[in-house]
Amino acid sequence: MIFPFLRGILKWTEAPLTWSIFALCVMFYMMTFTIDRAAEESLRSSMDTEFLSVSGYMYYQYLDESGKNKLNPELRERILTGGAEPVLYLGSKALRDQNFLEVYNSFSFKGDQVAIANWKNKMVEHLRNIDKRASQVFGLSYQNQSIWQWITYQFMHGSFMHLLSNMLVFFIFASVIEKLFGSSVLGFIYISGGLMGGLGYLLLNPGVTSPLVGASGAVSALIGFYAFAERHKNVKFLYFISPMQGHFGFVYLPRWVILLICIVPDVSAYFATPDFIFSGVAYTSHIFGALWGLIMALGFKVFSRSKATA
Amino acid sequence: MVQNNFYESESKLSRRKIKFTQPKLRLFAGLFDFVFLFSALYLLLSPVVKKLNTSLLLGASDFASDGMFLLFVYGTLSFFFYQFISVAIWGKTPGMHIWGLELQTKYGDTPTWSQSAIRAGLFVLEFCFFGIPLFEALTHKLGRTLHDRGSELYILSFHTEEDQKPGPLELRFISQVTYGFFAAFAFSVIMITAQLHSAFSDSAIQAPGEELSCLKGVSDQEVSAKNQIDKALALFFAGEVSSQCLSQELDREFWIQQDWTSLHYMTKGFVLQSLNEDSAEYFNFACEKSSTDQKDFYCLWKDLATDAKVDLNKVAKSFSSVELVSARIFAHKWATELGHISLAQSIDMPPKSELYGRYFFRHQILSNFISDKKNEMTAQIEAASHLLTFEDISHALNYICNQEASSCPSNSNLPACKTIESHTDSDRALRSSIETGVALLKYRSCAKPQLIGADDMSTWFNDVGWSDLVDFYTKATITNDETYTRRVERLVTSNTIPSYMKRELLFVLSSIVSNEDHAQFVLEQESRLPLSGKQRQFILGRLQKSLKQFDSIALEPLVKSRLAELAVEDEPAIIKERSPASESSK
Repeated sequence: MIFPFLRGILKWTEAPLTWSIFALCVMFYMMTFTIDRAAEESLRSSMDTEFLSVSGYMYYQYLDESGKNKLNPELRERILTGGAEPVLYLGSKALRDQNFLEVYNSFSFKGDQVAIANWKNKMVEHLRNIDKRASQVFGLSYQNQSIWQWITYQFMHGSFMHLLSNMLVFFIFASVIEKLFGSSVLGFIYISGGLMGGLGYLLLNPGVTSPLVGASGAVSALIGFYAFAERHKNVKFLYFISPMQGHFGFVYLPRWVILLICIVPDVSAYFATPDFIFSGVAYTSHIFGALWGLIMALGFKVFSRSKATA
Repeated sequence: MVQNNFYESESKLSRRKIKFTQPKLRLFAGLFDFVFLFSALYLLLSPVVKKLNTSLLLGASDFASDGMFLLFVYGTLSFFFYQFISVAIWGKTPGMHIWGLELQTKYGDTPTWSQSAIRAGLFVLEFCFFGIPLFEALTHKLGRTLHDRGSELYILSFHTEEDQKPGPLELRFISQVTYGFFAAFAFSVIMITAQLHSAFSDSAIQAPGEELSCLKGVSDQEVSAKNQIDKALALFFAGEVSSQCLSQELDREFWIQQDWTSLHYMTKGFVLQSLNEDSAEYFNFACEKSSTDQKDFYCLWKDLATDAKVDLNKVAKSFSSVELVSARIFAHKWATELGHISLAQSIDMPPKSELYGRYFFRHQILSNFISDKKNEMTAQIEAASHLLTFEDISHALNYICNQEASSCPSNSNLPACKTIESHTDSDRALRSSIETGVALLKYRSCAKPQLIGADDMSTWFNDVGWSDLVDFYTKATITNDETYTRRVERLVTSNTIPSYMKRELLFVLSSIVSNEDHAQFVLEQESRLPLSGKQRQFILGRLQKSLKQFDSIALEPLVKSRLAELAVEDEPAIIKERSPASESSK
């Protein structure tokens, strides 16, 4: 394991905005945790394998009939030969396609009409359960795009592990940026990076109903900014090979290694994930956030130079 | 820290101690190289990985093996060029640079291009043998690897130990990370073990794959859609395929995209009926959706399926010449089961074929015996014995013995029971089949019908040596209950068994365990047999659990009250155990 350590976690007095954003994210998590727990339970009960399977078949018909069937040929072949797993993937995609969800009730599906009528009833219940989730209120998606949702999604997290991993990376980069460039720069990059991450998610996942939550877009912007702001200096990394003495410690590496470790896997994963899978990680948001951080870093350099020459 | 500044490293070399590299540092450098190469490769090969992921997720093996091979080839080539180019140009890989290592010839020169190529080639070869040749370096006095010796290169270290030492705060952080690492590792091991365990348990249940590929060539796309579903349904009625198989057939995309006919709805109705689920809507739909000329037929079929009152002659007329094989088999089976032999004979059966073989074989033998004017029971025994399976014979014998013993005629008129008793396998049967145990118990109790109380019963048990039988019966009950409870638990918690299959298996299991006659019988026997309090509690507890598990609530209060009575009876014993010695010792 190798991970950027930079200056570690700084104190409240040294990085007040970093700690404030952290507190806000934790508060949001605690606030939404109880709401989501109940909603998740009812959602789990409404979404069984059979429901997903029928949704997959119906979605396939919808894509075929509406001329939008641009499915992966292998997936198509597997569905036509009766594969059960591919239908489930398609079913889960169906439940995230806003265009499908808008027309499913009036669409004339072929096949077992009794089962289709049952499925439609289940679908209504499922959508009702989905609306109960906190991520529908605070998250950003195709159908939920009010101005405040573009901001609130950056502070909301879906699970404890999601919060923990984001906050660990956030602390390491945010505290250094705040220390070196000031709180206003950190605040601006965080919020604007989150906005760009959200934009990337909506642009590259058209019609997706799954809400985007989490600070990862904004954190990627911080990573991109830091890696490019002063790219000629080496930074401190923590390496850990085994718990034996001498097998862990710190090593100074060039800044581009940060991108290699933190951003390149996201880009690779985005290109390596099959179209019919919804991975649960918004790679597009990470990539757009990092790109925005890079642009900000270049802009900051130009601005600093022009200020110095003036 | 190894190097405080990437760009200043060369100027610092002269100030550092040069020595042969420790294997540890080489390993670290290799791991860093792996991280760099892997990140770059993952990005470059992401289209291949995407295709491979698609194949693996969809369960199609077409690209899975080719993709793995392609990745292996790309990976090997990239590794070769990574090592070759970096060593040829800089005399070290990026990983070596971080750890202050460098390759030199024995004269202290930087490696030549040919030396770099030989080293990279040998390194790749070592990995082709799973890296095992690398361990040979441990036996070398200078710790040199085969690829270094082959290319006549020496790997030297330019770093000092002091560079790596972390400060006290960093040490504290690292120790916390170490604990976290151990916790995560332990958690992963537990999770993986649990998943493997679950996967192996599931595979044990699913082992007989026969049931999932059971349509025996019926689903041939060349046969018309109507004929396909007709044959599948006929096989189902003939007992040749299970309802889960038929259900799977109906879930196929081929059918999903068709406009369903009345026959489809009827088939689905039968599938649901056999799964003990609500099927009425399907039967109604089949009747309503049928065309005018077939309305009578489908509505009649619906009535038959739902046990409504039907005119027998109308059924005979309607089903005898109908095109559907499934309808004729259904009517034949229905008429035979109800004992309307003449009606069954009036239905034209389809030409005999392998598909319905066992059904015809069974009925043919039975009707031959009956037409020979034999006693129907004797005919059944003989017919069953022709089927040559122990289960068929014992089932027939048990059934008939139960019938015979219910009226308790003189012992000489109980041939089936005598056959069971004289059967060499009866001991085994008693241990494995409650049914046989029940039949024999009934048969033997005919010898002494007037038993007054439990004491008489107990004395009589001892007189006739029935303790073995009681043991057998108890063991059979426990074994059965235990087996089914375990199977049900495994079934319910399985993640890989499809839901429709779960439903069917649960139904099959529940019909065995929660059969109320059986439960009633267990209750009766429990009150009659001379069992200890613990034995009674054990049997009743298990029965209660079974009844609860399958929502069979009719007998549950009875079992509960019986258990409560036992608890009250046991109470003095418990008090006795606690008092005086135990209390005083406290």
